[in-house]
Amino acid sequence: MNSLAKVDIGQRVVPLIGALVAVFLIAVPVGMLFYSAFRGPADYLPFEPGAQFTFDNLIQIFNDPVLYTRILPDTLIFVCGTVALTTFLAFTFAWLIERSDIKASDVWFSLILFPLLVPIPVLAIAWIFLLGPNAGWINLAIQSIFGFEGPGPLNVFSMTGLIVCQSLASTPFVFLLMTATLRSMNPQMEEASGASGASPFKTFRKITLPVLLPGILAPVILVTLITLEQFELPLIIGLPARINVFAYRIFNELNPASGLPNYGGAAAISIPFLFLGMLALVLYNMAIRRADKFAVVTGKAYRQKQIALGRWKYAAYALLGVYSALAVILPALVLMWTSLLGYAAPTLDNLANASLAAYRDVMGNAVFWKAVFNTLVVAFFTALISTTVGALLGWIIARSNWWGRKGIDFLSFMSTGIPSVIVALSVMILWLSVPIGIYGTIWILILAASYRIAATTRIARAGLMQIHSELEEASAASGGKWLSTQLRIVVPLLLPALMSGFILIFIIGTREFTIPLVLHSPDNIVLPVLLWQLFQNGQPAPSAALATFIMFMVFPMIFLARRYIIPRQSAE
Amino acid sequence: MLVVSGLTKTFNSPEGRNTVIKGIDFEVKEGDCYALLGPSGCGKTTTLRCVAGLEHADSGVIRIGDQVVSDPASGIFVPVHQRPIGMVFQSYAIWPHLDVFENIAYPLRVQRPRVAKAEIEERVMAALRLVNMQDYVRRASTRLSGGQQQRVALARAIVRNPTLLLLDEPLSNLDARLRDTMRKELGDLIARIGITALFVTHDQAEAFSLAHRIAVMNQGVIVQEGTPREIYRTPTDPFVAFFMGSANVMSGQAAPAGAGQITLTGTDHYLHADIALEPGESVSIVLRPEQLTLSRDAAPAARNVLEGHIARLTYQGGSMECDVHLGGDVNLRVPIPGDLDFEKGMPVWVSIQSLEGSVFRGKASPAT
Repeated sequence: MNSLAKVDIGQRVVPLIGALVAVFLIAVPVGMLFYSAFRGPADYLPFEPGAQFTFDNLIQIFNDPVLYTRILPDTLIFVCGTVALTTFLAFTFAWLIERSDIKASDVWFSLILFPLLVPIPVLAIAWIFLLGPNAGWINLAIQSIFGFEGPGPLNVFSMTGLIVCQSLASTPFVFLLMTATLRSMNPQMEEASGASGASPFKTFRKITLPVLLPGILAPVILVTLITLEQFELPLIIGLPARINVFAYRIFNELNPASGLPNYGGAAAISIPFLFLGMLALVLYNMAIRRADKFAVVTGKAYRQKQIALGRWKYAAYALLGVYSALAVILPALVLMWTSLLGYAAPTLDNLANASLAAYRDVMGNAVFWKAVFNTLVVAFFTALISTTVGALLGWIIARSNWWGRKGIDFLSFMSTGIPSVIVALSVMILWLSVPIGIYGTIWILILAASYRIAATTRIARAGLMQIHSELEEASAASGGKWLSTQLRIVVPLLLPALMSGFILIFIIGTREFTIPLVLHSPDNIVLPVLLWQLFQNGQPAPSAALATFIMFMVFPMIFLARRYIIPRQSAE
Repeated sequence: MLVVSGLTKTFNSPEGRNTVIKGIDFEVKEGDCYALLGPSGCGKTTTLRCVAGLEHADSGVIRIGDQVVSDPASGIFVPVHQRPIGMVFQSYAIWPHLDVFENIAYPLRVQRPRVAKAEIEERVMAALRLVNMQDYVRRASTRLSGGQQQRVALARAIVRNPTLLLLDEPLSNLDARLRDTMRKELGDLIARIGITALFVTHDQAEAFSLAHRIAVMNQGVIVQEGTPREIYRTPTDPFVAFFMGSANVMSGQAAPAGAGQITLTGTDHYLHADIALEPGESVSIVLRPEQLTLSRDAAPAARNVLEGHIARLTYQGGSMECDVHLGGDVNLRVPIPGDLDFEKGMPVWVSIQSLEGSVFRGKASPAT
């Protein structure tokens, strides 16, 4: 650019605002967290008068034998078990849907997707109704068929139960990434192996798997990271089973059974896990780069040849059937039944006693309507902030030559690696220290949850890459200022991409449980937290009624997701 | 060597049934290079894939050497990995996790009984030398250019000495300049190793320069089969004639008097052809550039000279394309040397050397 030319203020200022907001959403809370880890005494906020520099938090946390005897082993078993089972289910389903001649693949696709849209507490409560040792439907069924005496034989409140439930919940996300991987493989790679004289099995072993490996590894690393930060199921299912994973431990430091919250201790225990998360992200990045290099024609989706399953189709339908029953159909049924009949056993005779009392109960309460309002407002503004910031960061990364763009790219990407419980903790410490009345309102939830900008940045950047920069230059050559070029040319062209990012974050926002629970107050309650409170208070019918309501509320999102998010995600 | 007879193939998709091969027969002699030529969607690639065993034909027999590899009527289908073939794919399909050497060694490594290590080394190096890639033995395959990938794909296809080499649009992914070089090299290589080859292309220049025989395909059938010269000189179908070059296609009508007189539709010109036509019958006339000469002087006595004027001149360096307006909306494109001082609007006479093989009964179809 000619140095004498008048600098276009908009071009300088607007993206910079995006970068600043991103720093504010991510770097400030995380910085605060690090700072807090070295401030004491334990129940003091870092800037509180009387707080001082100390190593006590770290020493206390890492000297605690519970860390080594309980938290680390439990976390390790939970993560390994979940990752193994999730990977198996997700890859098998992706392969069946993408590469086999399975019938009704569209229906299976929607069924597999379902747990991705429902808040996890809804599923957790349904699984307790199904697999609880005393009155769980599946246990009752087994007892009556085989003549067992209760309780059992299955118990959801166990490490196995936790791993199975977490895997059912995590499968859809990994499944989506794996279908994209499978679709990106050039079928001629396999055909060339056949034409070289290799049998189909040898081709699968020597060509298909090695070529797909980086593309499979990336989602596996990602799900490891996600499992590591899981909080919902470890709280709802793991806690009664006395399973103690790290995310719950942080929550426990803030909400101890007795005594004051230990901010410094919570921050101290967060740090090693934050580093673990970053390590996973680095590995993920390496796998993705290799996968990109392996995609000989980048970003292209191929029409895959469908392989006949033959007799294996029965096993395939059985696996898909069991998954759909456990993850979708039975949870929906048990919630609807319990909402109408409480703990009454599922028999036709009992059906006569069905009553809508629980719904009247729940909906007659003003808290319910406040929670509905809060959930939608939080999801909407979170999506709006995340999409806007993501678009600006995407622009900086794809279009500008600003020296800081690598750092912005890293910052946005890093947000994936920060567990939501740690974000909640950081934001809590920050806004308790900066008392401007945000704490306890829905705005703190929005500020906390808006840190998820990795996906929106990626989507915006990919969208911008497809908009030829000559389109922008043509606008400039027609006399358009930078800002009007963006608003008149780029934003309209980018809109489908922005829309898909918005919907994605909106769906994640409606499911959000961890952040609102850690930061909750009577004023900022959201539906999943209300559900958890009802359930904890021992109200099966009202909690089932609320869970059913949530389920029907998110149901239309399956169509939104299939229409707007998945085609884009697989095109990337 | 390769015999294909009565081959048919229908694809069932959600959009409906689509018959892409409607019964085709051809034979490739030992050591010949045979081209399936046609526009996209004509069924040529599917035919090749049936020969390879990558698609199941619905009916018909495919024989490679003495072995019937596909005959649905008798339930015979030899899977792709058991057929004695080597294949070059359109995308080259170089495996990204293997380097150049391992890509080429792969067909030998999966062979049973096992090939000795030293022999693999020797044969891979020989194949690499054939394609001039001996300096790239341990190059990562993700770091190859398009032309290099093409060479590796070719080496991989010939390394196990297949009976039949199959090539699917082998040059279409290369840019124009490289395509010319690779076309010559490919021709030399096939001739040198004397392998029987079947290849698919939509580019007539490629088919002419590489193939001993060509089958021109359109809409699932072979419309003409023969040597390049036969196909160019004596096309049996206006589609073939049109597809072979930048020909002019016009429609005409046999004059009531018969005797080979044809009126050019849209003009008051007529032509004489030595062909028996019903009076009033519709015909299509295909005129290739080299049949036409342009002159500024009238030659009233000569047969098949059409008068018109120059509607447009397109200068192309060594030559010019001259559009001669004959009346109505009928123009004839004639190439002329670039140094002639013709001008737009000038009256000219086009003389047609011979109409042999240029007049076809029936209307010129919109497909041409």
